[in-house]
Amino acid sequence: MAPAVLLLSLFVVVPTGYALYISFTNTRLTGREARDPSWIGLDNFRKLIESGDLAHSVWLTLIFVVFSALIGQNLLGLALALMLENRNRVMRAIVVITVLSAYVYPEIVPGFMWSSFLASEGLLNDILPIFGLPEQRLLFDHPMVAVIAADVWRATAFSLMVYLAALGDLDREYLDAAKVDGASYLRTVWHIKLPLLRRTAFTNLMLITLPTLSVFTMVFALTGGGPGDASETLPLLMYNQAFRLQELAYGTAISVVLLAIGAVLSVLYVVVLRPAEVHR
Amino acid sequence: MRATALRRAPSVASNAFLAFVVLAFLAPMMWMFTAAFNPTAQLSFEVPTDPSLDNFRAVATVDGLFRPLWNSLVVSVIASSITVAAACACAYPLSRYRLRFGRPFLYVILIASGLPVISLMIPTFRLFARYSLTNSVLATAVFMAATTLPFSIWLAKNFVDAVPFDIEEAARIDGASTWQTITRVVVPLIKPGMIVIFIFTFIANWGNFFVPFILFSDPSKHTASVAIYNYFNSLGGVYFGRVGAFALMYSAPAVLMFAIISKTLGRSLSFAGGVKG
Repeated sequence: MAPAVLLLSLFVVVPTGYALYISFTNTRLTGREARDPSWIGLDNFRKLIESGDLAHSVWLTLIFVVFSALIGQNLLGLALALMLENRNRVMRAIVVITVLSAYVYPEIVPGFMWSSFLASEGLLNDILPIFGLPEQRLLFDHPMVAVIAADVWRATAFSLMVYLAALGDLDREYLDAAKVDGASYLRTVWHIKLPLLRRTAFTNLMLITLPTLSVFTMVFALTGGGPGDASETLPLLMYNQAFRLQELAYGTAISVVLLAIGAVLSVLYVVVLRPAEVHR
Repeated sequence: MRATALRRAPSVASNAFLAFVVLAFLAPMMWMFTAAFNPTAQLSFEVPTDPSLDNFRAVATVDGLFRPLWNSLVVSVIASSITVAAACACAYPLSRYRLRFGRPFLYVILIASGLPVISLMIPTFRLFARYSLTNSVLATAVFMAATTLPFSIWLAKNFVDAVPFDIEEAARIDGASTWQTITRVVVPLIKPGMIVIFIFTFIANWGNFFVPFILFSDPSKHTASVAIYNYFNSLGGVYFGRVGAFALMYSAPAVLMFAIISKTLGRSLSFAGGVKG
């Protein structure tokens, strides 16, 4: 166990402590305050609150996590898994492979794909008029819709795999009993499968909300947080402040907030779930 | 009559929905494939009238493509190997012995696996600069190994748990030492699990953009993810087809590796569903 503990201490615990320290200084990316920063107490955090940056980005991050993870990936994954359950092999394979392939590309590549797809001359604007829908400029007019759609596209595969595995493990007795009693398909889903999947759903939410909270690359490649700050979620705000505006300490204060949110959610999930694996 | 109609209706609706989902998932990715084979590709979607390999020939240079791919390979292999070794070495005692601190340790690991790694990037960037580790392939690989470690320890523990203790006892009774039992009995049995962890973390490391983007400033150290991003930003506006070709070559290894483990991975991820109510 020693190597793991050492690795985690050196590369997770130490940087976490160092992040706290930086966030109380006026460190900049370059120049005098890069070499010789001074202690400024809570000024960075005060600035975060007073400038409105924090409220704005926390709100966008909340929207992103709720619509991408909780609603998009989770419900789409669940719906697909339920629909695929009693489909034939070929159809199942086609859907699973298509959805999975979006998940497997190196994370920057979907950024290019969606840049092209959503561009004003892109494929989406070739398709929409066919259905009598107006052309769009999502990346400019509704950047949050764009990044949420792209992230749902990229990450739904994970939820789909989790739900497919869980459905395969369901206790057949309940389902057979329902069949004998003549329950319709929808009633079986609503009264038996969904209640049995409750714990899986909770686990899945834990496994997807936290990665979604820290999605950077997709947003960075598609909008860079813009236009203006219209899609500047916490990871983007952190990057833009620390590296583009060179306010390293201010950016670090943002990462401390992000870390705190992640830690609270993480602890909450673990306490509520109390996974069986720990207690065996 | 009415009953069958009712029973069919959701089936028709769900077939239509499944078809829609498949098309909606395919649509955004098609551009990469058409652009890669179209020397005059633009951001718009166009089926090439005169498909050629010109784009591949244009990007297939050492500086442009092969070195970045090689760098990605080196970083990913080192990071994933460290992760597999450390995760298994950590999971074995956790699974086998009643450790006084075992349970709290597992909770810490579980919580750690949920923490946003991205918030460690700025302090790590500063620490690397201070200790002259910026542009160090090994240091970056070790950092990446540490960040995928908590989740890997969880996966590894599940694999070790699945090995019946009786087998180990049998080996002991036959006179095998602890070390022999581990190397001759346990390791071969959890090998499939080790491969899953390796490939799973390899795919994550291979695709990682932010970590190398921040920790490598020297262009000769850039991984494929950073190289393709820079290419897109500097020349991509002119040569979209080349970006497509680059993206295709960069994606292929990840897709292939995933295809190899997808069957096993589905099962090992079911540990998530394995905590059923």
